[in-house]
Amino acid sequence: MDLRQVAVDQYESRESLIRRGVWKGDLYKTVDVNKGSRGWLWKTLVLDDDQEVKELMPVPILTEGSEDPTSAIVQSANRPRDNLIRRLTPVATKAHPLSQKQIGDMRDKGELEGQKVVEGDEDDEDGMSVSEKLEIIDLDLSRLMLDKIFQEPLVHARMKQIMYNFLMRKGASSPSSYKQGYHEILGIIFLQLDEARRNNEGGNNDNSNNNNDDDDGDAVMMNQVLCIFEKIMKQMVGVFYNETRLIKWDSDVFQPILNNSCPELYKLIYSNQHHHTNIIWLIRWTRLLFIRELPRDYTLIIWDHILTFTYPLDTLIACIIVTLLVNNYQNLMEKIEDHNDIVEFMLHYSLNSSSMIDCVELCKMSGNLCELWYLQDFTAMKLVADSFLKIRFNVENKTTPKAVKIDPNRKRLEDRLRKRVKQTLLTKETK
Amino acid sequence: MFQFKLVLLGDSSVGKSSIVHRFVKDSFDDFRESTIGAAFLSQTIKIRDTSSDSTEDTVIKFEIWDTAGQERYKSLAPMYYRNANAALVVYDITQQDSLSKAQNWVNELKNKVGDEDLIICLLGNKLDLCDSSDNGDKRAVMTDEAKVYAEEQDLLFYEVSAKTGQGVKDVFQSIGEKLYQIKKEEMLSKKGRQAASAKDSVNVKLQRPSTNDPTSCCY
Repeated sequence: MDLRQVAVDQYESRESLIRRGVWKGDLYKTVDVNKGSRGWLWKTLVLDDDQEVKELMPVPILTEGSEDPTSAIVQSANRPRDNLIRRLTPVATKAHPLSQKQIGDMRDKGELEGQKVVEGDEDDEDGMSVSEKLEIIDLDLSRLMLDKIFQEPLVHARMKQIMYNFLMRKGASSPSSYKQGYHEILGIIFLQLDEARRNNEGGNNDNSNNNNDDDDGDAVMMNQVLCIFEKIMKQMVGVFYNETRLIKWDSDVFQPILNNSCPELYKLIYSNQHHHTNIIWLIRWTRLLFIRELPRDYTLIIWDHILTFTYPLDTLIACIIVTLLVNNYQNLMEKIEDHNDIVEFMLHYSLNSSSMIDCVELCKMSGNLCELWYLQDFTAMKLVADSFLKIRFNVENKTTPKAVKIDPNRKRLEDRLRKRVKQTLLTKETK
Repeated sequence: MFQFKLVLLGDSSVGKSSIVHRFVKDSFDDFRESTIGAAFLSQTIKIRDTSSDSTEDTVIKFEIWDTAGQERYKSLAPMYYRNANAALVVYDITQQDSLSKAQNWVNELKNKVGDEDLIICLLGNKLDLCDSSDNGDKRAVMTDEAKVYAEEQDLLFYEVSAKTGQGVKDVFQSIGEKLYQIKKEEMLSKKGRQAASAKDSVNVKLQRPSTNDPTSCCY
């Protein structure tokens, strides 16, 4: 069924689409959102009706010694970059990574364990020139493996132009800092809207341009991609792409939510951890919004929920991760012995994870935890996780009775002991 | 089995992930997505102890931490190389400024880790792009330049190609052997210390009755 038709027939307003269609999951029961219609859904969820279409700035081609984007030669997104030489490694940075300032910053961050947090935005202090930023963007875009369309020169040029405009709008007069990961978030959005446009499902929603001119259609689409990207990044950059704040988010949001929902898992993951070990996996989980951790269709449903902006992104992401951890309670309890195991498990989540919870249910439970977190109803948060665990164990009880008979804590201790004995014996043998 | 933590450091796109994949999976992709944060892989190798009479191989497991090039500038970088037994500092031999950036990494490791047992290996990648008759020699960093620097800094040094696999296994084998030697010496000295301490404790026991043991006839 056509998503737009279903949306018009069944949901009287955007709020109703968000509440019943997305969060209640009705939409996924009637429509296959993956068939080119997600672009339309995201535009409907995110863009304002009176969205103004602004012309995107062209990307400058900077020559040696010219760092002023306004005086540089510009590169149109519609012109393939055939004649450009791509340098694989960016030129030397102006700021030495071990400069006194950097070392000072590191010292500051080292004191974070004592609750001292630097609130300053480090984003604009990366010491990279415009050409270096453009080079690294080029490099990352050329390695974007989300879909084969990203290897097309025209798509590459368009993505680069959108990214450049994003950085320019974010910074005052020069592009703000670019970080690896931006390109993948942009790639996912571009892919959905491009697919919708290619399927002629997204074009008619544009109130500014209804003609069929391809260039205008492309310009409108690029504008829409940029708007959606800007809205999502507005909540992400300040938390997940800023290391100081990511560490703060971990201690102020993620850890308390996990601790209140499932103290056993909190203890397992955070006991005796040294120097923010969990940040290693949280970086990728949060910066890419599960793109590399979960199957694509599954991730996109999570993104549908994220793009409703019903809950602040930092809380929702924390709750989603907590739910995914609770969903792997048994697995984690049995397999994890030390912090290296946790990092390994989480960086290979798709391989290690047991059967996945239904995605809409995952989002519902996460949304529920978000609300309880804001109400500071910690008892109810634990109840939600406990009920989920109970249901999960009952389900597994029927299929794998042995798994439940053994206390997971005891099994973990036994496994650890067994491994140590084995290692000791092996070491003795080698002598 | 011995287990060692090995970390790969270096700037974006020098081929860190490709080297790891060549070693662990013996495969190569022309296009590989950027590493975000870090990636983790493990692989085992066998070491033959030539100094002992044993004919059995020792198994060494590498826990490999492949970091993102961009993490260099950030405070989280030390988190990746903390407690590492070995570090591979990778540079691209087809890029002029790549070696100097690798040198920054070496300095950082030496300043921050402060572990004399940490093995640092300087690794020039993309050897396949040099001496190639089809595309011409793209070498921009001379072997001697890197080699001299590595000797000055007491680093292991190799040039490899993740694409063809040339030299990749040798790097890990050589690091494994060196780590094994360090571990063996460590264990031997520990054993020596234990033996000495056992000897000391015997002496104490012998002396005890003559001093303050109320059950002794000499009390």
